[in-house]
Amino acid sequence: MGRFLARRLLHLGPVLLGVSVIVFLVLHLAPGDPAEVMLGANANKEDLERLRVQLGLDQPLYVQYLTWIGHVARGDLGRSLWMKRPVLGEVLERFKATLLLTGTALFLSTVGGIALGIASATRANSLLDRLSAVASLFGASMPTFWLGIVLMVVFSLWLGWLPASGMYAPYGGGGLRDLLAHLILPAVTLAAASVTIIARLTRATMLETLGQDYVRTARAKGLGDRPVVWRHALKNALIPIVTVVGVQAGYLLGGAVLTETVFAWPGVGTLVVQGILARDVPLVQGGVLVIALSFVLVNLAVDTLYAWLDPRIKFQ
Amino acid sequence: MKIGRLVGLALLLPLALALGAPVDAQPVGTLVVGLVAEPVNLDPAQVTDFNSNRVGRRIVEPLITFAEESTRIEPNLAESWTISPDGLQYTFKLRKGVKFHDGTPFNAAAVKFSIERQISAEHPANKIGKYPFANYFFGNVKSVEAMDDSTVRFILKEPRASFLVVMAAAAASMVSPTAMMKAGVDFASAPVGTGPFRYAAWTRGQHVTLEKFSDYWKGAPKIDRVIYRPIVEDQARLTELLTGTLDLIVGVPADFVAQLEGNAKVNLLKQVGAHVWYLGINNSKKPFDDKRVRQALNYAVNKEAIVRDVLKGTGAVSRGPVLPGTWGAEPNLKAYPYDPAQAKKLLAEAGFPNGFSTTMWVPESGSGMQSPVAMAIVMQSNLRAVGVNVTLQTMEWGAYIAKLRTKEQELFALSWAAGSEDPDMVMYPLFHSTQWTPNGPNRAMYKNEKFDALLTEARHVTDQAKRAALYREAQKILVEDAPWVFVDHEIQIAATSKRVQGFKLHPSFDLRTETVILR
Amino acid sequence: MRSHLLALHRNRLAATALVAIALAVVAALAAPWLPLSDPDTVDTANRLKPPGTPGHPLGTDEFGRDLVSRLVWGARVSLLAGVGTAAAAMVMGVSLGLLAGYYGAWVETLIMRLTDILMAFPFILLAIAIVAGLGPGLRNAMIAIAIVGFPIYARLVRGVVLTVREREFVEAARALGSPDRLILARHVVPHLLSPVVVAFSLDVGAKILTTAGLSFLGLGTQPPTADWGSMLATGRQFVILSPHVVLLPGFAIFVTVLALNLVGDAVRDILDPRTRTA
Repeated sequence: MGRFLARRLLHLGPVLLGVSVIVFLVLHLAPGDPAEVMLGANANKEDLERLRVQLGLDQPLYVQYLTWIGHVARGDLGRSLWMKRPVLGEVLERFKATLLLTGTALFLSTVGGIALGIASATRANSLLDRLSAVASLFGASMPTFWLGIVLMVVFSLWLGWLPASGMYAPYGGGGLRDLLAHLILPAVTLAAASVTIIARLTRATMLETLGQDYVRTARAKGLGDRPVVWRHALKNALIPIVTVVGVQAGYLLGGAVLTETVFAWPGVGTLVVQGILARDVPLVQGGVLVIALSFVLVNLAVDTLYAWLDPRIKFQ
Repeated sequence: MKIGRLVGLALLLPLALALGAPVDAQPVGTLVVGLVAEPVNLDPAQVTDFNSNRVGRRIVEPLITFAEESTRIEPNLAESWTISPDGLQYTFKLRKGVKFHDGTPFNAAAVKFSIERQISAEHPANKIGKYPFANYFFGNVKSVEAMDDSTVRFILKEPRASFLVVMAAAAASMVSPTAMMKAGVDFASAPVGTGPFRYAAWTRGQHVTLEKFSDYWKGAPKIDRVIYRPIVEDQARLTELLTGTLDLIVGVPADFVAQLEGNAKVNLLKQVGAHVWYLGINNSKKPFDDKRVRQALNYAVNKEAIVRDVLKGTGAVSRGPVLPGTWGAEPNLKAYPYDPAQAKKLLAEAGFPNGFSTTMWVPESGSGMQSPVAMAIVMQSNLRAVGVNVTLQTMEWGAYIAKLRTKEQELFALSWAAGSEDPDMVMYPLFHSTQWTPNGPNRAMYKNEKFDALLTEARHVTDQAKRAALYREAQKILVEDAPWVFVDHEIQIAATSKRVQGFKLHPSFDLRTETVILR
Repeated sequence: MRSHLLALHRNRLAATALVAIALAVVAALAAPWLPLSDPDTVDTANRLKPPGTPGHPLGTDEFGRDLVSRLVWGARVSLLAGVGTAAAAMVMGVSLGLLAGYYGAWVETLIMRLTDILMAFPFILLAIAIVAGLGPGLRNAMIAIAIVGFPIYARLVRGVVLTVREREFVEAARALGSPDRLILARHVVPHLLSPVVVAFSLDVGAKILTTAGLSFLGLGTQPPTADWGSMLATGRQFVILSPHVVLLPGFAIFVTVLALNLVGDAVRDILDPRTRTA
């Protein structure tokens, strides 16, 4: 296990390097460079050329990349082209907000999804099963922004229970309750799509394991329903569930952008999108690297969980 | 089912906790403004968007300013000025006793610093900033000389009658040299100027806070601080205004305007901006090199329907590039009313009785673009009705402006916010043949020698009446040539809570929160 | 085969769902011959008419275009994009996941790290990359969505294969000298059916919505072409004022996803006899 972990951590480097090369190439191959976006539609040629030189965009691509990677090796992610601020601090600050939001959403969707999935599986084709299927599919076919706006209108505008946007009230706020109040709507919005996937998958794999020989044997030996479900079936059904929770964690991390935008949540997703639209290479690099790093770590955790859940799994 | 209950409880707990949290009422003296996006930085010489300038211009100010609700120029940090007879020297007398927020005095050296940092590569502050307007605004400046502590002289390379308007632009704002050299690159995030508010704090993604500058030379603002919150989603901004957690929002979507008009909790403000939204036509490409084809497009597009049904009154139909009612505008311009029959007739005369096919480029969004895709869909439908089959190509803004440099455009949607009513700020860059893209923003590739001559001449005379006559003549030529489909002038919409008094929108799209009084 | 058909018939719900899907497909294919008004003709004077308006049984959108017509025409793009991209992602993902899980070693490392790199990417960035590389258009948008979507299947499949790989029956088969191909097909693939079928049927809805997201970037379909996702997305401003503009395409997606799920469940029951429950 220790060797497995060490080896996987060693893979971190190449993965992140791969990500950074692709981000770099994409941003440079995409039409529109930072100078153009900065100057807008009204720029004249001299200002454009001048700014390109100032930003170092006149250098060959590989020189630009090597300069950047050289700085990264020394722990310097550079400064945002637009905001002029150090990228590292900016990204980490925003990442905290994203982590809070996705962490809460992941918790809600995992707990809710597994509970719903088990309930459906143990009463397959019952009214509860059908209802939960319809409700969760409804979640899957509604886009995030739509759900977000509806929740906002209902709970903020009409009922006045919860704040509509932001992370803290700009004045007089700052406490835990203030934070929680601001967190609820975006977290529920973000969790809605994942809860569906987790619930449906839990139901399916639970049904499969419940039908397997050893579970039937356990049943035949006279074990009650509940121990069968909890002790035998669930543990074996967990592998795909854990996989999908891991995948969802990744999607939530990178995909919180829409939710962050709707609720003006100061996360890293909106920062990266702003950066992409502005072709702000250092900013996007920094943001994507942090997202990628956390994502790879989540996957590592998932793989480690596999081994724990099913000792027969061997990793080379 | 114990587990189920526990799960339920765990899910409900945060809700119960948070529901108890009270929504705070605004403290007296704090104005909270909802912006459509986060400012890029707060140094107006280093940004190009309205949004950043709306905040930055509270901190720094130029020598000349615009009057209330108009873009007529007025003295500001300069008390007066004289122009040499050849139009090459502008000498400004500066206001005495003005201090920057850091306590250092505002003087001729500061003026020299503020402009030279942008145009001279050797200037010590040139490396610690990026100045997008260096050539566009100040490329014509040969030198800036401090004559004495309160007199400064600009020497131009060529006469340009609109130079005073240039000196009223946000990019010509005055910054504290001491503060900038001390802060270096970070200056843009927290600039120091002479304005009514001083920088207080900026929590990225959440809010920028400015505090009143008690020693402001015009007298301190009546409010203590302004908090700007970036909220991209329209519905969120609106909800916050209606629930009382925002005092002022800009960028109210057209479809919400009617809804707000009847709302007792808010005041709605409207103001036509110095702006024009147009469908550009590539005049040098077939079949658009034929004037009749371009005129046909003008007759085919139902501008009234766009303004009424898509923009819901947040735009005024435009006949030409200059804002109607301003000193340079020609009042009797040829109109192109919605007339599909006339359009078909002109197309037939030009040899296209069955129309033709073309493509229209449209950005998804963009500063001053209003509702580009919706407007384009209506135009596409209008043009199809006269036989012109238009394929729409929508693009993300960054890709769009890069694509516009390729010169492959046929039809393209764009807008221009000159920030001033001076016709030179619109007509010269967009239609003078020296400004053909990629040298400048004349993307219609329009060229008319008579028109060019009128515009050049208007730059050389300083008398406003004479300039007006030249521009009016030029506008007649332009509209007859129909290089664009002129669509509308944006009417800005802001909504405020009832406790906001004394606030007025400005045609330059500035947001002058220093005039606000909170009840 | 007969018993399979019988099982399908028994599941009335699934049968109904199948009929619904068939109807949608037929309507989409027959759109040009149906008596519908033109889906793209703008009539701004009659915008946002509610359902029940004479001449517009389901009302009109923000441009005064007939919503019945747009829903039917939109089905063409949405069904193609939704099912097509989800299927492509599934095929790619399942094959790579099988390879990775079954063979392990460097094959696994390579494939799984590749999925890491892909999944760590913000979607919008890949989309911009594809505009740059392939040029805009529905076909390229679909390629992009399929590429972005395959890692979820790859990870899912590999996870399941890892557990199956070491089970007695697989080891026994291997010891008996069965070729890998046969072991995979006979012993491994059946275990994948339920998670993959479930993931697929949910994925179709997500892919329809994603296509709409790409259209916003100027990839994908271009206005005024109707597709359900874009209808939903552009109607966002009217969520409160004229909810039918958003609810109708949302409902269409919902019914499609629901029907696919019901059919998916039934198919799984039929193909995998062990999961047949009371």
